[in-house]
Amino acid sequence: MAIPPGVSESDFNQALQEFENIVGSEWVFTSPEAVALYRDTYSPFYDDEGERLTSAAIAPDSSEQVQAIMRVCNRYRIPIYPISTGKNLGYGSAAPAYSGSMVLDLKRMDRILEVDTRNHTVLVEPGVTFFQIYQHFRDNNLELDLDIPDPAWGSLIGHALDRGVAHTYTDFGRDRFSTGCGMEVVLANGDLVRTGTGALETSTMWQHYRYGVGPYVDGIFSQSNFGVVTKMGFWIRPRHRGFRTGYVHVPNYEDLEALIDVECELSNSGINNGMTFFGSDVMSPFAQDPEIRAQLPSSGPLDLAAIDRLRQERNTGFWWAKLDFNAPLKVSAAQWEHCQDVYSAAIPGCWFEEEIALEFPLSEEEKARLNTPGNPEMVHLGMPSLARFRGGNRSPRNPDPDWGHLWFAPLIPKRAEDIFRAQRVFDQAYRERGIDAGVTYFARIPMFWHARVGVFLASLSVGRDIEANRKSREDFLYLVQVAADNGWQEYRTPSFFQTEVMDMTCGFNDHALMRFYETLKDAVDPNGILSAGRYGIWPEHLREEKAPWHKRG
Amino acid sequence: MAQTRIVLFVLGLGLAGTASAQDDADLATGEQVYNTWCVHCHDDNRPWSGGGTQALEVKYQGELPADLRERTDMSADLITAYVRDGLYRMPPFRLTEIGEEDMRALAAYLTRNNPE
Ligand SMILES: Cc1cc2nc3c(=O)[nH]c(=O)nc-3n(C[C@H](O)[C@H](O)[C@H](O)COP(=O)(O)OP(=O)(O)OC[C@H]3O[C@@H](n4cnc5c(N)ncnc54)[C@H](O)[C@@H]3O)c2cc1C
Ligand code: HEC
Repeated sequence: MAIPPGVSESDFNQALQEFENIVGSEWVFTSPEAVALYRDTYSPFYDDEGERLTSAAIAPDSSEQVQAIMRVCNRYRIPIYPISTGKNLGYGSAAPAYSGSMVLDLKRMDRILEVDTRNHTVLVEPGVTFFQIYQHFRDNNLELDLDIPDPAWGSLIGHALDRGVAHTYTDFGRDRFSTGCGMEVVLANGDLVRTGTGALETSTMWQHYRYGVGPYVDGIFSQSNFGVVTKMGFWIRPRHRGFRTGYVHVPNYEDLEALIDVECELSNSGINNGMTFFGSDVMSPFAQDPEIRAQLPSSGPLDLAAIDRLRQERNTGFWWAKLDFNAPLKVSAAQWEHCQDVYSAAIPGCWFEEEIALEFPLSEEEKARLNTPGNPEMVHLGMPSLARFRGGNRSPRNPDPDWGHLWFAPLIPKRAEDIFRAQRVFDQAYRERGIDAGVTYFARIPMFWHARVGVFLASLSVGRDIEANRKSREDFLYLVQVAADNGWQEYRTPSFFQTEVMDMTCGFNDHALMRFYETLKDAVDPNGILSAGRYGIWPEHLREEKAPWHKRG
Repeated sequence: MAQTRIVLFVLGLGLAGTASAQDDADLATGEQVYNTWCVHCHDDNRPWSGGGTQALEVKYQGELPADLRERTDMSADLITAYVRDGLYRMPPFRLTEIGEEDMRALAAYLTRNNPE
């Protein structure tokens, strides 16, 4: 049996006894086999020095049990790391940021507590997954939907607390945390708080008004370690009625600026209300045309004249924007028409192509076509799947797959000049590090999950070759530093690198923000038991040992 | 399953009815577990599949069925080992997701067509 760092064996045995009294012996896991299930099989530290491991796990079934567990942890100074569904693959999975911590596995708390069908809110526990809530709406004929991230086996709460993203309507969970409304939190010291209007004992609108009265604190429970969220409310949406996709093509390289600026105008005014994708007709990473591929340098500057010749020969555009509309078709017909008017006036020579118009419920034939070329993916319609895994798994194009990846996820402003600069900067950084980008960076455009920034998402490969994994680790830290030097910050980052990333990207005024986080940490978690090291926030007794910002001293 | 029932019937065992009802319940649970945790990747290879079936198609090149539900060569222990260890991008499944009893039912379901 493994023992958490800083805890004596006799104290730990005593604590385990108390844990069993709280949750029942069935739900305290100490055997090596059971504990190994919390390993991060996607970790670039896998089987290497520095892998974050779990010592034991405990799975409560209620907020009261979580409170009791926090009290025991405080009594014996046991480090503990809560997860909701632990599917944070590519960002650390279920493994704790501080190796040797116990895991507090909240999967058993999987109740959908409240659903407001009239004003579109839910209140859920941490174990509730996207698959589950989607099925719940269908099974009970509830006319409701929500935005769903690629892997639907994750939880609303875990997704929100790591500030995850999804794919449909602007304000309905594409930026999950922003749709949160009201939390119940067991603080690290064991106290139970309800935020927002939940602070009123007789509250009738916990899921309907976010702020309550006084300071608004929900944000400090995301990407942090001040409390265990045991319930959270979300704003969801009425059932999807229709979906339409239209492409705008523009002829010239420089047209990207207007293509994006007009899209900002349209989406920030709510007219184009889905998630827009941008790409290149000639340089799309997925362009299969060998002649075009030959023109795409794997390194060095782009031969724009040559690419433009090919573009003209093929009579294609240079860039495209794929506009999605989440609205009944009658409404989206007018939205799409308006978008075309605005684009026509702004960009000479642009043209349009409507891809698809669907009304819900979909017919069986329409369903069968989803995720095939020319048709939307399920996630774009708010339908759950695990389809995104397909690309990384063994396939005819990928006969020798890797075991996982870590996500490099820098934010870039939603402006053409920044995107062009990011393409150049990362192309060069990749070449310097000898990273195989697969395709040139010059065609890449960030993913615009958020309204005013894009994520220049890239994955670095993880396998079972320790040397190769070490290189991925070094590459990752190098890229984060390059991004920071250019004014670009990660939107989210793997648990095993959070200390370094916070150090590299939160330095303003001698790391004043980190100092503030540490002040909060010391106040709410004086024994430093909860999720030590998450997002670089260490309790006082570990700060020197875990160093950066910047190397302390 | 159908085969088992016939054998029991021929032997005329008094408990056949109960045993078979228990087996049926296990298989139903196993199928349910499969549909909750596995089918999103191990399905009939639809375009939105997570790609487990496609991976096994490429791995075995037709020598074994790519759909796990059609396999007859894996033991319950082997299946359990894969589920608990993970393989490539399939992560391990924890006891709070698939408990020991559910795991047994899942293995029973996936070995239901194995030769005796
Ligand atoms: C192929 C692939 C595609 C992906 N696509 C997407 C995508 O489209 N969008 C996206 O956002 N992500 C994506 N991811 C990343 C990730 O898989 C998902 O975000 C996933 O939903 C996160 O896992 P989870 O919901 O189980 O959260 P968890 O793992 O449960 O939680 C994440 C972290 O939040 C903290 N935490 C969780 N619950 C609590 C709590 N109750 N109290 C306090 N702290 C808590 C913990 O520190 C935990 O480690 C993808 C990953 C892969 C492999
Ligand atoms: C995220 C997708 C995904 C999920 C969910 C998933 N698997 Fe897998 N599974 C895979 C992939 C991919 C492989 C093949 C790996 C390879 O390429 O060798 C695999 C391989 C396997 C194998 C090994 C077969 C062989 O002969 O090599 C077994 C057994 C298996 N899975 C069982 C399960 C079971 C049972 C479940 C549900 C509890 C499950 N899987 C859930 C993706 C998944």
